[in-house]
Amino acid sequence: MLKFEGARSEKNCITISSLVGTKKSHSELKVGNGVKILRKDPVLRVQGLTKQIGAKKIVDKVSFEVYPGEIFGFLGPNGAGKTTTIRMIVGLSAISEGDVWIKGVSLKKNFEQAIAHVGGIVENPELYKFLTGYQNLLHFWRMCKGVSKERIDEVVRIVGLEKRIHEKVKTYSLGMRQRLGLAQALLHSPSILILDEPTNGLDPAGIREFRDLLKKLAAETGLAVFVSSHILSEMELMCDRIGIIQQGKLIEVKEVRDFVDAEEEHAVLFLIDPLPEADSYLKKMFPDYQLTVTEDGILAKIKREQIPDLNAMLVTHGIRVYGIQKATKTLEDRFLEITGGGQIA
Amino acid sequence: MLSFVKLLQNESMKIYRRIGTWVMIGILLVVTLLFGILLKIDSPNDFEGKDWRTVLEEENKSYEKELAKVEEEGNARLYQDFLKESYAINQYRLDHNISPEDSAWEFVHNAASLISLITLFTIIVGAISVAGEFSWGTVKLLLIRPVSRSKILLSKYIATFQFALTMLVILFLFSFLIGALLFGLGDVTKPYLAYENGQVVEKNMFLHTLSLFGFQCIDLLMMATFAFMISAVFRSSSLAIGLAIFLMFTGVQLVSILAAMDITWVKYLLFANTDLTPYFDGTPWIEGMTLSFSITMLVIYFVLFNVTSWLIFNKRDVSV
Ligand SMILES: Nc1ncnc2c1ncn2[C@@H]1O[C@H](COP(=O)(O)OP(=O)(O)OP(=O)(O)O)[C@@H](O)[C@H]1O
Ligand SMILES: [Mg+2]
Repeated sequence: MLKFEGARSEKNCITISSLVGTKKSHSELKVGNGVKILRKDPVLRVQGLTKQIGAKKIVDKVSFEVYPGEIFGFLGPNGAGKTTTIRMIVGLSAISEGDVWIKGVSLKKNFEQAIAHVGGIVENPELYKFLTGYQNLLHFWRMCKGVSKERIDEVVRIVGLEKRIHEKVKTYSLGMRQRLGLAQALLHSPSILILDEPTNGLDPAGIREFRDLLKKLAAETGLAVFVSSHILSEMELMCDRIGIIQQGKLIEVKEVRDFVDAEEEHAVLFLIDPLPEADSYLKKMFPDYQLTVTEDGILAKIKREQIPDLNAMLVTHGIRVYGIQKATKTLEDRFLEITGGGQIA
Repeated sequence: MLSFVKLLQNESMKIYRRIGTWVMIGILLVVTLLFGILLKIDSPNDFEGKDWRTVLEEENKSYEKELAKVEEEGNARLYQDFLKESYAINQYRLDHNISPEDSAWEFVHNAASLISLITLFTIIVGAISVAGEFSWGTVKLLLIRPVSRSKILLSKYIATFQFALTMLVILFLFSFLIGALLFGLGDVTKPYLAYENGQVVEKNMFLHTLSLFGFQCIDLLMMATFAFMISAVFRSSSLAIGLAIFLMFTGVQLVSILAAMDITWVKYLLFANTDLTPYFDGTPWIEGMTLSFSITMLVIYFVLFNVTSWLIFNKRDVSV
């Protein structure tokens, strides 16, 4: 079996076809050299999930799958329906249509069995403030079956809260509460973690630590992670795949790399001098190209193989080329492009 | 089964780790103590060194005179009954040599009126037990466990009444202690004298005290269940506490006003049925009300409250 880590490494170029909405239990992966690898069964399968309140569909036929060891990002602007989707997945909200399967168990039909594999935090990690961190964990430990008490100390160590665990939660900082929230989610060694904006309120160091911890857990224990956020750069660094939700509809699910490199045409910045001359010349020569004059050069939207041609033309016409940069799109650009700016649904 | 015990442990932990709970226990102890001191200072049974027999004989003479006067006027039936009862019990004490002096038991009887304080505290604890989870936001972590919502609700309900029971035991024991300290232990084995159908009968003091507590607990059970329902339906502890306490203090008054106006449907109201003592000594609110009628009404209300909280707690979306 392929460790999903590999998908993120630079050399192994993996393209995944039709990951969204596959009904097969195994989907095929094509590795660069053509070898087919079977993918594991999804831990979480969401099919046609819909939440209707009145006449309005807050979540509309959302379908996706999350696989073991994978970090799946759920991205969307405010009010897109991320929290509502998560509430349905963890059973806090009734499902209007569709269903959720966790390790093949239907949440609708067999809630208790399905939810036993899920660890989660929905929005803020609100814990019992009048109890100590340890008592909070003891409380949730008593609610799960077949977990040894030593596991409490283990998760405390994992989230690095040993020093303060016997203090009341009301004395905790937000970051410490986030850690305790994560500890309770990991307590029963779930197969999937469902986190709603988990880095809310964490400082940059805290976010980094949190991200590293999630990546480590996913890579080492095969834990699947479903994480929602609107912090785009954060998602880009953390996730293997990202689904974008807007106005209740899942509009795109892709590999993080695919998101950024999806287009055939690249934006390439030519640092040249003199600018006006070059601009008028290029516009005459290549009327079909999309060219934009920026402060330091010309931004051209062209295919990869056109880059040297264009460069050659410029050079032969005595225009000095100081540099050629690939202006790679960040996920943020893509996101804003797809969701049409910061409009709240 | 084991898992349910663990749920109860959780709920108890959440009740007893809150400072508020210990404040309530403290208030109960202080109020019981103050109540005892107040009764001691203002004791009507102050025999001033005289023999209690002489005092009772004097009392009975004045009762006879008063009774003759009231009977001549021909009204105040309740007052007449009271005079007759007092007279008969005094006479029984004289005949059987049973001292009326206050002892620990009498104080425990008096302290039974403090059960309404426990009712109040149980309402608060029950309301917070459900609505608190919503206001703290912890319900989102509580309900994403492999435990059904019904079990969680039941564990909360039972833990609430475990708390009430603890408070009742504290009141019982502490009032006995205070009674013994302030009024002397007295003869612990002396019987309780009840007046039934014109006859004085001896009853076991301990059992009588228990039944006294038991009758008070009907109100406690119903009001706490009501608060529990409001808290599960509206998810607001202040609404549940406010409404339950308001009804607790005004309900009986409302019933007595309506009963005085001869409105018969008043007998279907909860508060017309929470006090069962009139069926054993006294007269019921409305002519024709019977013990079995009241018990039926209580059961109906009890089931109604519990089914409502269960249905709504199970169905509703959590939007905290
Ligand atoms: N109980 C409800 N009744 C009516 N509308 C609701 C309800 N709950 C949520 N909504 C609406 O559903 C939409 C999605 O809300 P949701 O909380 O899922 O968004 P979100 O993607 O989590 O946003 P954010 O990034 O701000 O957390 C919003 O427009 C919200 O107003
Ligand atoms: Mg949200």
